[in-house]
Amino acid sequence: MATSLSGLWEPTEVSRSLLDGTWAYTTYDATELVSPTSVSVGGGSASITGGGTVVFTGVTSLSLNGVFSSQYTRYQIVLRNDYVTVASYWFARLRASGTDDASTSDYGSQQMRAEGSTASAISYVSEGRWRIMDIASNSYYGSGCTMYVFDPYVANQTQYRTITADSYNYSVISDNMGFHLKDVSYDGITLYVGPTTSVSGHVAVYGMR
Amino acid sequence: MAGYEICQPASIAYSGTSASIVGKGSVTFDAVTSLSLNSVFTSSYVNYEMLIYLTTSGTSTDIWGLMRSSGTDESTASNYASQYYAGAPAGAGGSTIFTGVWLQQSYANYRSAAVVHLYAPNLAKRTIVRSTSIADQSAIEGKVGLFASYHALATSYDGFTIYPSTGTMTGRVVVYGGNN
Repeated sequence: MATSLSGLWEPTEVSRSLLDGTWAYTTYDATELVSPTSVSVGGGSASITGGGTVVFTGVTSLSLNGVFSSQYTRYQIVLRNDYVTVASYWFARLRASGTDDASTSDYGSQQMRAEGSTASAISYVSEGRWRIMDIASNSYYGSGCTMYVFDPYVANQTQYRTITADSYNYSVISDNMGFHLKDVSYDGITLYVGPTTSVSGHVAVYGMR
Repeated sequence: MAGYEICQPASIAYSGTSASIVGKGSVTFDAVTSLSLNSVFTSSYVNYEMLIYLTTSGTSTDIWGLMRSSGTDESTASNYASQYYAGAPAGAGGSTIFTGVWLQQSYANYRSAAVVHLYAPNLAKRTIVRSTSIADQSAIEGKVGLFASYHALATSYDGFTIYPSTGTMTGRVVVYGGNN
């Protein structure tokens, strides 16, 4: 049995009977690190290192090209950023053949936020983007986010969910979830920060069988 | 390349009845007041996931974590901050606390579990942790908890200690490293 995370819930070893009466075994990793075929940035720089993690410095946007394929239906994107100089937000857009889908009416997000004693829920529609998480500004802050994307490469509607932590003051939760309405296949995603800042960090994409 | 791999601690330490490394690297523990995983974070991975499953805790309690380096806990409470969001019994309320890494809640004689995301604990950066937990409160009711924490120092840590704020805990924990 492969020692992968989702292997706890899915078969990771498949056996088949051969004509000579013996058994053959094929082992699968339930999750695999996916390397983008290329990356493009707005400002700053980015590089693909090791097995596929993307390290970025001083970017306003980061496009991961060719990261979704028919090999997987679900994806986990793990993002960790360093501080930003202006309180900002991570956004995302789906991408096909190197072009962002920025159509305003197809994206929707719902945010659940907790900061201090205040908890709130807000919906965002017709923004032309997904909301990923809040990121506060300070010279020593940072944020972490695990994002799940469902069926981006399948020509169906795409859903997503983020699980977030920002290290502002007490720590802040700004989880988001939402949809993209078009029945279109996307092979990439653009992550970008707004309104007026740049960011450094790293991001890894895992395909989930 | 495999996405996630089990990270077996080089060793464990505990206070209480028993604890041991089993299987491919999980750690089981019985009635412990603390459990330390030594050298479980390395430079081989940047981000980690940890699954905690408690079959029971002796009393209703919160479960906390502390960053750990070379066998010593970093227990300066003011270096930690946590945000809590409760999902039951009705509505939600936020609260904050400065103690450690807030992982989950557990109710006496009921089961609870948490999925914990740890961002860059082995890098000399602020460690950020996010936990999503479920705790049974009765035979028919569960409580969802969302916890975000950070450790403020830009320090590299190789270990992690889990402990209940009161009483003991029994269960299993496993740590996965995300390949990069």
